[in-house]
Amino acid sequence: MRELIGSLLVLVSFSYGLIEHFDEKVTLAPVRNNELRVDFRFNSDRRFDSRTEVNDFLTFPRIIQELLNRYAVHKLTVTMAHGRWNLDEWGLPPQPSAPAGAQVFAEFEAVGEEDADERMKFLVEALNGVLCTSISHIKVVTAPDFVVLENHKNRKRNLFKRYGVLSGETTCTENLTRLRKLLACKENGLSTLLHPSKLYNSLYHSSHLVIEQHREKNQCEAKMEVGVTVVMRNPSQKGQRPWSFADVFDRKLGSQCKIARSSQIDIIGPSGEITTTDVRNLTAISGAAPIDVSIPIAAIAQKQSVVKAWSSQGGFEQQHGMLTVHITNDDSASKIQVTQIIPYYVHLRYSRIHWKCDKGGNPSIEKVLKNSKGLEAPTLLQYKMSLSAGQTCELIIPFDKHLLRLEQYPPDANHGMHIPASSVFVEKSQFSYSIHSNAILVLLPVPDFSMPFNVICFVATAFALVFGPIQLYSTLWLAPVVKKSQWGRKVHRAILLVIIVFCLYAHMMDINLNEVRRGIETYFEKLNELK
Amino acid sequence: MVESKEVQTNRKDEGDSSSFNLLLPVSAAVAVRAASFAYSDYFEERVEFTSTVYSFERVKDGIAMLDDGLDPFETKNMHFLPLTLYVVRYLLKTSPVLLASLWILLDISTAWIAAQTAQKVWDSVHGRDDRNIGKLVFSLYAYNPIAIISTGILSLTVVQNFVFAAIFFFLVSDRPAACALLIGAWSSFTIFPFILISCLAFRSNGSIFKFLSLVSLSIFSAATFFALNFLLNGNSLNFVEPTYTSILKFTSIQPNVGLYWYFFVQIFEHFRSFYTNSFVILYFFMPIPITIMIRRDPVLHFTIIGLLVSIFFPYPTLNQVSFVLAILPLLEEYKKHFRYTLLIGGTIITTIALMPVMWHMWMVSSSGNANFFFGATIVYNVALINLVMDMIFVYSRRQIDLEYSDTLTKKTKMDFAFY
Repeated sequence: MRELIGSLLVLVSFSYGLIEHFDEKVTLAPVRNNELRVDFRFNSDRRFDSRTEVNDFLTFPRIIQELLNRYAVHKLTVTMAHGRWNLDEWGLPPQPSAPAGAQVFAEFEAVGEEDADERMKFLVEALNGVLCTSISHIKVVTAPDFVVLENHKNRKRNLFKRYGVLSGETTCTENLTRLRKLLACKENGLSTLLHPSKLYNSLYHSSHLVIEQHREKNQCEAKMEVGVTVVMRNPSQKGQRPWSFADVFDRKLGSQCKIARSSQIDIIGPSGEITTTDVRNLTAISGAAPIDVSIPIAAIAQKQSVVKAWSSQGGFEQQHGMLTVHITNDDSASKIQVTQIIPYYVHLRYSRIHWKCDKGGNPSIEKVLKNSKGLEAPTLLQYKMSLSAGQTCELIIPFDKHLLRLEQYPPDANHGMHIPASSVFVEKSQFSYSIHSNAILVLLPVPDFSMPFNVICFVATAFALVFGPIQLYSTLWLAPVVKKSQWGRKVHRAILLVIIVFCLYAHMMDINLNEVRRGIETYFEKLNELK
Repeated sequence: MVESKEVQTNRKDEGDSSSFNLLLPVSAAVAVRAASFAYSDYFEERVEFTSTVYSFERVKDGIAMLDDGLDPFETKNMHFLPLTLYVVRYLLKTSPVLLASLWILLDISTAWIAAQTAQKVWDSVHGRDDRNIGKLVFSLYAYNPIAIISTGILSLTVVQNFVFAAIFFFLVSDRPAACALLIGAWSSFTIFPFILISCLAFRSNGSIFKFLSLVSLSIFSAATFFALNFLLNGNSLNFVEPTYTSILKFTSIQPNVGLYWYFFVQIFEHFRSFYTNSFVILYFFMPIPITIMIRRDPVLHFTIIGLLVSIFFPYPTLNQVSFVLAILPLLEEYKKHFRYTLLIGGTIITTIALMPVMWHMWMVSSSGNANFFFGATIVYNVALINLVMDMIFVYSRRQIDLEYSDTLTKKTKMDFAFY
């Protein structure tokens, strides 16, 4: 009966020229002994005719369509990650690659730069709502010239680009819940495997949302990809037994997603062979009879070689520092484009930025430095160069750490603030990808937060010291006075001196002044009684 | 720069008629400065000797951006005028060694001009006597370690001190027009020196018209420099915000030896504009009462205003006051009335010695916090402020001496009162 209604709906929508698809896929690959990489990919697309569009949604999430239309977005990538992708052992990171923290790349239409800034602000707020993130204070850079992310490499004119990274942002269960809500099958199929307890208890976790919309005359095509990539350690630690779904996800697959066009489980074996299980072809699958798979624990033998990048920090004090981005090429020549965002709390020592390369010295380098408008907007540094095989290059960026205004510091100021990870876009002859280095935590000089009033008082006093005498001497006349008899004054001084000496004496001898006072009082009372 | 050449030719004329031999002191001063270049690594990043508007390293950043075809004023924290950038860029392109020797030449000329001018003032007041005040002033500036280090790190304060000395020279030698031109030119770089124009009230022969025409001459000079900057920057006004506005609004709050930085770190956001405005208004108002008050001594007036320019500049370095401190011996006749000489001298020396210590404790070893360094700078500034206030006092005190000279003997005990 449900199928009938479903197909009826599809029939109805066909008459509007509406086509929607939903695909789901999970890939499991042991990347090292006892380390398993899990990739979820949920793709949803929607074709419709903008003339006959009546806002019918079958599998595509309506909120994404609204987002696309409201902000005239052509392509938007949001990633959230924690942990660090181990380029040495795990090979190519999932694309679009994600730096630790949150990352937003948006291409959209706008009237002008200012309108684009405004739109981006609202778009970020909307994303906060959709994904339950808190990236409102992300500082975006305008229109990077070179490629930052692999899926944003095509240049389109008349589009405004904004890119921002927030390294301190942590990703957590709420984000995953909201991502699941965007899927056509929330309670069935592969999405049931998205179980937070295992996915977040892992070496690396990243999730992304890519949405895009193309328009050709009246024919529109909207696409959404939700991806979750996790690298986890064998939980059983027993060693030689193959992994099962229960080991990996803490649950088994007990249902199918009926409306999905495809729904498959790929398992990559040690020698690179791919075993595909189509969940839709499994007939008897239910909560009572779940399916399980056997995942080998041995690592994949041949690894794809990748360009490696990592960042390090130099300097020992809180004023000067040095950021070094190390990039090592793999065994074939490649063109790279390096992007580094420099946040506002760090002052670039522009004349001292330089590259240091081994093997054949510095290649020719194209450079872009861009400043975004706004008080706290970051600076964008981009480089384009080609590396020969095996070459290592270091980008050395000396900087000064800024003292900030009191309210610009985060609540835990002594924790430091992040310089976002640099991204490296690698172009080989056949394919291209992007990788991210690690973010750097910079210790900024901090003022004393506890006593603004003292400082205000001191400086104001210094000003009073100037103003007082100037006012006095310019309005009054200094004149000599003939000295009169000074006896009264001298007696007064003597009394004061005696009191001070007595107080000092009392202090030295540990005499309690209150007791002395009480003694005097009782003495006076006695005197009164005598009367 | 045009003005500076003019001054140098003047100096040569003066130098020939010099009554004292400066050959040995000059060569010693040059040698010390040349040696200080070898140690520039230690000092070029020191907070006491550099600030956002005087650091040569930052000029280099701007030049590097110009070389790369970038607009330096699109980036943040570029507080130099296009003129500075282009002139230094030209000098660096021609020969970096020339730059060092030019800096030495400027600094020595400053000392020389100060010495010549001081001698002139001394001779006119006291007649020719045995005291070789010129040599003293020369040594005070030329062997001031702060001035030496500042030359070694190519700090722009050296140029500024040179202009300062030139203004002093023109003021004393009664060439108010040249003085006004220089003040205008200098103010077009850092705005704050404009209050030096009040010194020209003593060179206007009591005519308001002449004073106003001098003021407009100096404004004209500043406008010319502004136009030059405007043209050099490709007819764009975007240099105004990072240079002039940042000075008038105290936007850069990086640590320096000035009064304001920590205040504007700590101040609450909604009071910021109030305090910015009050400080600027107070500063530009101050010369009016002072000029009215100190009517009879242009040299003392110049010293006071010069000190105020140095103290209240938002981004000063220690070298800012070197020139004014060097011409202090000219206040010989007030010497006996100064009340806090020892206190002020001791405080200045102590705080200057303490600044690196406090800085180290805050920034490097993290055993202290920002209050330590701020404490050293504020006490240093209060000492300078007290020096100014003492100068105002000694002026009034001296007026009493002059007024009642017939009735007062040395042993008369006096009290003072304000009426």
